[in-house]
Amino acid sequence: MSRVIIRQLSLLLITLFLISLLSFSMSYWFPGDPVTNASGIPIDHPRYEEVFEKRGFDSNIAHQYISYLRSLFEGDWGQSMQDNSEIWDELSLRLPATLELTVIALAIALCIGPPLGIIAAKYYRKPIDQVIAFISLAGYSVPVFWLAQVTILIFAVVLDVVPIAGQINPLFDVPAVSGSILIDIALSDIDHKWIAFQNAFLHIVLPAIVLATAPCVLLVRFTRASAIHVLQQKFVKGAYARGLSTAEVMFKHAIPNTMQPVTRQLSTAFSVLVTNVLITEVIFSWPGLGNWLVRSIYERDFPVIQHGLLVLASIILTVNVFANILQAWRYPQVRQEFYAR
Amino acid sequence: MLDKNLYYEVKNPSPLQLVWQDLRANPISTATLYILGALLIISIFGPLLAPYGSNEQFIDAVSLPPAWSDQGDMRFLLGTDALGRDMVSRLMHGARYTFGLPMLAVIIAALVGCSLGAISAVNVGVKSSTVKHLLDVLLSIPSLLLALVIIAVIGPGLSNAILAIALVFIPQFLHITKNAIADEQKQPYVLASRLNGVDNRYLFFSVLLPNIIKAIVMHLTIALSAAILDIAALGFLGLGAQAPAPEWGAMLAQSLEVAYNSPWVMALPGLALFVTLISVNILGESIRSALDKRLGS
Amino acid sequence: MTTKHFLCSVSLIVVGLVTGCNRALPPEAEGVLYCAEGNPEAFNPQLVTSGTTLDMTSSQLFDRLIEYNESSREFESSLAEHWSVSEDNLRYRFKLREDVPFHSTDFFHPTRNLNAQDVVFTFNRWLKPEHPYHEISGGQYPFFTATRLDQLIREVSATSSHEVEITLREPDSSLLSILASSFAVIMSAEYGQQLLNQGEPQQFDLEPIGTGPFKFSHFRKDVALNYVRHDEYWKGPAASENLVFRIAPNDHKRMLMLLTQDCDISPYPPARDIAWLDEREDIHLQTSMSPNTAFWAFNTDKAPFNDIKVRQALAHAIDRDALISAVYFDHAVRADSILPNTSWAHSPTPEAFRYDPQRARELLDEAGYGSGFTMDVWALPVQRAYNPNARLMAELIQSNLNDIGVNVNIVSYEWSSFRRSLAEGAHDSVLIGWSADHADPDNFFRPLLTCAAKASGNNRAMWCNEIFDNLVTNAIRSIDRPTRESFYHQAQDILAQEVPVVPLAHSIRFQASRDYIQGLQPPAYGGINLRSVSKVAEIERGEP
Repeated sequence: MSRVIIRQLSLLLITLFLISLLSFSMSYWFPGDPVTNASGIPIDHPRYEEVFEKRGFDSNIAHQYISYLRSLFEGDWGQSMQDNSEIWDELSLRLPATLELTVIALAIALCIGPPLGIIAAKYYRKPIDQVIAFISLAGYSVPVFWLAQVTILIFAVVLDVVPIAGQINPLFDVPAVSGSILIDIALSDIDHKWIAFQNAFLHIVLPAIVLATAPCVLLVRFTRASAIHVLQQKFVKGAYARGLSTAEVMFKHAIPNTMQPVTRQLSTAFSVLVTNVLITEVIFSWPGLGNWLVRSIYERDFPVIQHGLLVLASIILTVNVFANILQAWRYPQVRQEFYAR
Repeated sequence: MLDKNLYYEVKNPSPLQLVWQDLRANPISTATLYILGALLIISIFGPLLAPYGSNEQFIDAVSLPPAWSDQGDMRFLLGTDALGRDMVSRLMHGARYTFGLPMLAVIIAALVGCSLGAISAVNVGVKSSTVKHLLDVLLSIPSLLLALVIIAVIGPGLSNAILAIALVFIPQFLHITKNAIADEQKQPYVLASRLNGVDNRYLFFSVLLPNIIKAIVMHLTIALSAAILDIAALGFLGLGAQAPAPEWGAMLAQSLEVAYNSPWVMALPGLALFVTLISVNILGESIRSALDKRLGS
Repeated sequence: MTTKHFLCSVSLIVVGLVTGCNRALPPEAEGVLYCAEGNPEAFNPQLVTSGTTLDMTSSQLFDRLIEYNESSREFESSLAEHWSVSEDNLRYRFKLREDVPFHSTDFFHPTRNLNAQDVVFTFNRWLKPEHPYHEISGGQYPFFTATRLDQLIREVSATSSHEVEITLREPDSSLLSILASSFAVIMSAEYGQQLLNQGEPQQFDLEPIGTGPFKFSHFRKDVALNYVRHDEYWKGPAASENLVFRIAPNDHKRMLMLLTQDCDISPYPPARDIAWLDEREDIHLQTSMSPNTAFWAFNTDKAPFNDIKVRQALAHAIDRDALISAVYFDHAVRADSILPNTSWAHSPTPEAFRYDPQRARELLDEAGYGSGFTMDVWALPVQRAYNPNARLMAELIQSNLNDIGVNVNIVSYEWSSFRRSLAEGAHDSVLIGWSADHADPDNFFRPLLTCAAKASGNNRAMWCNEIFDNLVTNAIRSIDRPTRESFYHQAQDILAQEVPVVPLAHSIRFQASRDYIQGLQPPAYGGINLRSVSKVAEIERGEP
């Protein structure tokens, strides 16, 4: 097991190195001055000389890359070219907001997706299976930006049950400490925390459900396919033959075996989630990373693009590697595969 | 005329022909085939078939609902938008941007990616599983995010978005072809052919290729669906096609302004996108199950 | 069956949670939500020009020496109880109130009320380069530079603890208007000193201290700006406990947020939505003829726009009535002078801008451009009171100009780079406009079209005409109204002849609010004042 972990972690290190190299070279690919693209300090700024030296631009490219890495680790991520705000400060408020939405949506997808998939497989080719299969295919095909708009129109504008923008009604005096609204409410010293939680819940429920749709139907499809395969195996028939009840067969034999390939697909579901969170945040005015990144591409705010993409890509890679480790830890036969002899 | 075929011979259809027969036997996948065929025709000939131009404005017919409602007008079957442009015409013009161009991008990406993958698999040979795992991890970065990287560098716009999408899918096809070939090369039938003394060319085109086609075809539909979605998403975010181009994603983004008063302007491009995507996905699904049945897994 | 139960219970839980949560606010979170169109550029009106920032800061956080009453068209006392002007019109004395406390917050506790030192401190910041705060936050004071107030004022001095004297270099009849404008707010000298001692002077414009009805609480970029009531406000406390500016740049989003009660007040509803908003019972629409002008400015530094004939031709080529019905949905009146029709010096010259493509073609022929040319029209990328949709306007102008053989490229950038490039004069022509900062007609001439405005980067026509400059300067030096009026009429005649800009429309400004909002006034000059705004109490409102 430790070999798998070491192997996977070194894989992560290599990929992160590649990503940082990509992010570093983006300063050169963007039009304009590389120092400005990396730090957000314009050429005519009094601090330009200082930044120029600090980032090693008076030396060769290897030195520049090392300076770049040093700046990354020191938290000196430069400033936005649009409003001169420190990228690190802004990011540390926006990333938790994005993660909050992502984690909640992932939780919803995990709670609903696999059970539905197993139900469908259990009733394979029965009406309930066909309904679930169709819904999952439809859910997989509906563009998230359209779904978001339609649900906003129905649930917020027409039925008026949920609000449409932001994390919480800003009349609640919740200072942004972490950026994640639920944590911020817990940390704040306002009097009516419970009401604030309800308000925040109403704000998050629609974007989270919209966001959860795609990974959820993806999990339904994976689980269903895997469960159908498992349920046809002889050991299931054997378990029934030994007189076990349906529940026992399902929970003790079928489901654990079904989940093995599904675990492998968790990182796929997460990638889909990250793609969609970019769009969902824009539509729901969620003050997260995606919203910021999309606007910065539009405004050509290079330091923000560079670091925003770096962070998103690193998160995806990390999740992917940890999903591998989880799978290897849980399933010995997968571990064999990772030994790769 | 003399029948050249003198001997009675059982005509065995090729595996791909069998797959095609399977597809035609299933009414749902036949329907998706017709839908996609129609979309393809509209993508190519849309501007000729559409009743009006994509940006032709009718001042007397602003924000008309579809023809079957009370205020509708038979001239405009699906109504008009806030600038008095016919929705049917816009959707038809838009098929080219939202369906045709992504398809072109995916086909080009597949051709380039598969050839590169085949060349590298045959010539270099895959020994190191580390490289394979590394690519596995790197390719977990979603295509939209990679497209955003490229667009961030070369700037927003429809042609840049198409270029970005095509570039993003090349490594995927490369990886898939390479893995498939690497897997097949371990099979005994390849060894048998080698022992028969076939040359490399024959080995590749007649022995390996028919067996990796399944993986490529399956990925083709997945990539097409993802490409359509990505182009539309980029258009929606204002980073792909720019107004007034009738690309469906950009149309959706623009329709938000009037979503409350004329919901059909928002509903129609979304619906078109949905039908297209579900057709591609169902077709992909059917091809996969047919392939599984015929070629074995 | 278990499946069905499972699905039912899941959906029941979701529905129960959603309906169980109510959106009612606890008492300490009662307040008013105002949806603003963008982030404030700074919390100091001296540093900015945008109406958005003025709305969010000026009248909420600060007070001015005097104010202008629109109904009586007279100046009124504010921080200055009364004022007097010397015989030679060069010295103005202001007697300050003694009972004006500054905000007391976490970051600053005032030890004294407002006095003459604060006024001197505030004015000297933009007046004197040696002032410790002059260079903080960029050192640009566009309003005071454009009105040339920094050239005009010789000195601001405290004659006693509560009396200030402003000495001018030459008589200027617009001084009181400028002092009554939203930019001329008074800040705390004591706070300035405290920050200097702490070595953090840049905080001065980020965490503001003023005397106004609301205190700064906190601000999160792109999300919201929170104010709380200043309980010791000298005019009496504001009607609402909290005031929150939500940042919502999309106009359609703002409208939806108004419907879902995510906003209580929303400025600038889009013209296309006015009609149905007006029909809704739960939305109030307010209108005012705000003194603004949308215009089309030619870059007179560039060929062919340095030729008067070309400019005249382009002015005759566009159909402004069509623009007004298409772009403003008739919520505007046609502008026949740069000066709005609400001003006392207004003198329309409709003949100069009459729609006459035939005449336009003749003029182009005379200028030697009979075969036409290609030009850029820059369209304002944001909506403003004076122009709700510059892009659409540019498209209509494009088709108008096509008729006389002129090809048009429409250009638009993100707002801040758009303004930067405009100031550098990179444009051929631009669709932009101006909203009055103060009541004096001078506000439409000197900040927009003089040589000084060209130097400060605010003259979109890059136009500099000595006769015009003289007329405007003479007008400002005289005190009596008939004399000034005749100068301004001559100035407007020059504009009609030279056509550096084509005035297009004076818009009607709309403001939408929920029916439970009371005390809201439609604004006219500069920023909105939200002191008297509050929600009707919950009980009276019935079901929320």
